[in-house]
Amino acid sequence: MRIEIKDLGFGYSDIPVLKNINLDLNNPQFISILGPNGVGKSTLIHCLNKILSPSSGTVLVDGKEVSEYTLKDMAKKIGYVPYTSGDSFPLSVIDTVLMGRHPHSNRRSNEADLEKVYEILRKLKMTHLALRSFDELSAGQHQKVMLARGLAQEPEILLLDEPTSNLDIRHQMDVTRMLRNLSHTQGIMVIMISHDINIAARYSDSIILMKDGTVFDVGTPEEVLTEGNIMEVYGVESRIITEDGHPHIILKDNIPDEETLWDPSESSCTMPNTGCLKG
Amino acid sequence: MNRNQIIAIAAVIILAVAGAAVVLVTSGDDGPSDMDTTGRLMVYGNATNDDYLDNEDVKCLEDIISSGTWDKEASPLADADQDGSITEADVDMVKRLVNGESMTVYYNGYSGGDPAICKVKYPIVNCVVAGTNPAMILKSIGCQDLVVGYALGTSPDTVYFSDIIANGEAVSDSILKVDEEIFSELGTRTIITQDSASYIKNESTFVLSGADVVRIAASNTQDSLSSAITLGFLMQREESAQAYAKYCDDLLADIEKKLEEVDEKVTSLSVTMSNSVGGTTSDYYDATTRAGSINIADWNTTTQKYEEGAEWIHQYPAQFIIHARTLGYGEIDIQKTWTSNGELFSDTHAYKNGNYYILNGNIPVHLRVAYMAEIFYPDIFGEGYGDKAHQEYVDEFLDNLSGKYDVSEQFVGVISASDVS
Amino acid sequence: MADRVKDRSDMRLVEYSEIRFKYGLQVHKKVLFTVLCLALAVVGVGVTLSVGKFDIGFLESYIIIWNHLMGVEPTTLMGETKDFIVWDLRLPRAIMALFVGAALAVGGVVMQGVMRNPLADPYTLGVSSAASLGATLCIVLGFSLVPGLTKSAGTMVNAFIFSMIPIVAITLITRFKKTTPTMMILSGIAIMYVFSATTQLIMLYADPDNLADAYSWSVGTLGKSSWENLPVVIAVTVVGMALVSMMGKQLNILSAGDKISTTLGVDTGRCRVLLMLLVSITTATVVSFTGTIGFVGLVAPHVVRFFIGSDNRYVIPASACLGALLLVLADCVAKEAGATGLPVGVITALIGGPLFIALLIRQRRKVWN
Repeated sequence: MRIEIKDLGFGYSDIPVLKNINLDLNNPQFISILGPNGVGKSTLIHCLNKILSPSSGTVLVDGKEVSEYTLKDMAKKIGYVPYTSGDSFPLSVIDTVLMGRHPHSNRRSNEADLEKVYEILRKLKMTHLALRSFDELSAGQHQKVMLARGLAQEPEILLLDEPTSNLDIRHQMDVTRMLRNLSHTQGIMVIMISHDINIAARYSDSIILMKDGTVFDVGTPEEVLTEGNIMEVYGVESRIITEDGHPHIILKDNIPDEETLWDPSESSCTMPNTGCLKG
Repeated sequence: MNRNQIIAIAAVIILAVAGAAVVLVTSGDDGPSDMDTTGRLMVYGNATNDDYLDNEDVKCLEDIISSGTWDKEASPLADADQDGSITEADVDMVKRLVNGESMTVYYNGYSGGDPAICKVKYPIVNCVVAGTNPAMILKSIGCQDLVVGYALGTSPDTVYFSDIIANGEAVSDSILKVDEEIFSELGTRTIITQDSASYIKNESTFVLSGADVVRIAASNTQDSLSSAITLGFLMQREESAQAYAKYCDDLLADIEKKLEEVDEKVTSLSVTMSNSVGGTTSDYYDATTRAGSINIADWNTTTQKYEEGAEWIHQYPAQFIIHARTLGYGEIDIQKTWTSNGELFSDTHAYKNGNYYILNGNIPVHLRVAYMAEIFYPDIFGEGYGDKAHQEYVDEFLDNLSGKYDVSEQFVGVISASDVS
Repeated sequence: MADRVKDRSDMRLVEYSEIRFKYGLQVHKKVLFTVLCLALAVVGVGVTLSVGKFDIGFLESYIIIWNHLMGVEPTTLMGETKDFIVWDLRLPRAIMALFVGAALAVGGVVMQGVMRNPLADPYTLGVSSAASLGATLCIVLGFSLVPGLTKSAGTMVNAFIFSMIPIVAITLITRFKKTTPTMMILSGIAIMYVFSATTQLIMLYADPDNLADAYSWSVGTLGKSSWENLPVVIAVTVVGMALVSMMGKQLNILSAGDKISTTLGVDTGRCRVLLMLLVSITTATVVSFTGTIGFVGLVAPHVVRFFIGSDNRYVIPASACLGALLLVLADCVAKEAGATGLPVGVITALIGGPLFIALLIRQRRKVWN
């Protein structure tokens, strides 16, 4: 499968959120999208699956323009796992995940659908939660269920928006590893917006690093995660070491000399938890 | 004694007794004496409790003073100055009233919707009237020229009230209200209106500015005549008021007499507005009874609503249903009125038997009785009974329509199934 | 955000067969609930036939119906009246209650799902104030959109046409601008204010008779039920509810959020408008015959969800049955209350309010976030 993004631009009014994005993503692999908050990561993936339609440029999925896909066809090709669940009237876990079968099923969900759902729950080690109501789960379990729903779509491409932010680190690694294995064994292109640089570095095949609404760099983790890039994009000094063959970023705890006040317009202070101090 | 003396004494005794009987029978007989007319002039000072304020009342008061006993049941209206006792002051006041002197008089009116003793500056030389019933009475007693302002709602009966509308000014959009500013420009100190508290809610404002708000009840036969006579006195038009009272009394007497021929009374129910079925305390209950029917309503509220699909009305299978609506003296769309009102009652016995009637209700109460009597007992009263009585009323008492309005042609008194088929 | 699992034993792997079995049980429970409600609704019809201000014995009502069906004519005047009361007043009214209650409840389910708001009901788009305005125009001003109709027919037609205004407005807006559920609710509120202000203005100058009529129209009554009205109501409500229940799955997905719906292949704009259109037509039809009966559409779905969860494929039919049951029972009470009976809208309000509060207090499962 192949995603070609050419000169993609998007803005809600005159202020552009995305500009000049050019990407060529090929073959099953595990891709992480990294970048500070508000840089347009979610907006980018929303432009890929018809949630938003681009203001300019084109997106081709397997050679066909996204705008030409019907919603149902798109749903069969690209799965989506959102950042939060908006489910206002919660169903049981099984029924929630069953929703993911909708693009493939017709009138009623049948036995085969249920079996597929079970398989996914088993893989995510959630069978004991199958009949519980969605609103009785913890935030972490919510995220797993939404992930299961996305997987139930049996997509060729899976887009995920920070799917592990509410999980503890063990489960974060578990799920990320599972996603990586999924892309390698099931031949799915997994594109995940990640909030944790190190976990992304450890499992990703490629990393897309974004800054100010455009792609700053793209490539393997070793290529993209350099101290220079980190400083430019996040405004943080760091040291990269290699551990187990993967780059590892150690954040240096320092404040740049010029900044004594936190100025929100300064992009270098958009990285969370880096201690932009006042006074 | 010899025979001649006995005969002489017997003759004297017989003559004396006869004479006394004549005196007894003819005393106090200054007015139309056939009807029971006690207490209709509701002004305090009317010691004789009849329709007049005259020297009879002066005499009666003097008798009470001299005898020292005041039979409050026989003379409830004796205390002219409302000081609690009968004194020379009362006598004096009545004497001056008989002379027509200006002063404040007390009368039985209404306050806050309940009967109360009220006072008013006598005589009433002009007024503003609020409400159709009071306005009708003023016209019937010949006082329409004294009306300088009126509140008859947004669509008053322009035929019936043509003179009041032409000579007076509209004082508000609503039948219940009088605008204070307009009132103050009209140069009158009196408002005449209905007893109900929803009329002239801001009464106290008018009273504070020195005006009088005279409230009368006018919706049943008795009350409307009392009001007519009382107003006639207060406005110094006793003659025309008495003439109107006589007319009504005669009409009712005629109806009562004819009703004696009835062996079996019919049953009835009365309806007002679109679906308010009259109870035992409603005025139409009174009217249907006076017209000789048995009104089978048994609830003691004034009305009970009959909503579409309700079952309760079928527990009161009256032979006749009289549905009174205010249709006015002008032109009426008979078909439309029939359909829009009759639809709701089309499942009742009365309707199915052709005995559902729509009555044009804003006519004087006594005429309503006449029309209804004609509906209930057409053989006894004959066709046109209601119209005839009505024509008399129009010609004798309505200045603006007398001789120019043919009731049988122009007025739709009753709409029945046969009018629309 | 503590993990809900207390000890290791809870986290065992559960076999497919066990899950399948339990899932099947849940489905059976839901179906059972629906069937139970339906059965009770039918019983309710039976009860309401013998209830009313006109004294007819319990058994006698059924004998009268039986006789009528067998073609036996009543011989006495009283017999005729009783036959009229039971057959022409009570029976159509009971059937009307079933279908109106069902339609309103289903309307509530759909509106709550489409708006993703637990406080939505069939009137949320502004239907009740629009309908009231239409009715008031005819009752007070005698103005009928279709000329030449009698007052009652004109009122019905006015009410229907005006009830459709909100959905038409929303459909037009969505054509030009993507509208979120929140915007739709706000638009509904705006419509409500405009229409009810106009209605109030008209009522200020109405004479008391028309005022009372216009007011009681809006309270909602089943009194106008008749064999003539029934076919239209049954046809429209059955078709409306059937079409809606075929979209149960889509409604589930819509409730999950716009993004999820889109990515699962559901055209949110179109789906939403279609569902609301179906509800609007059904509700407008019902409203023109009964006025605006409240609370059934709001409360019935919540009661249902309390017992069987939020899967709309089951909530829709279950709400239909429960709504029917609720309205039939409310009408029983309405017919007996007061001196002359009360409009059923008063009873649904009296029952609906406390029922809602009881639900809020006793909820064991959060059926909304």
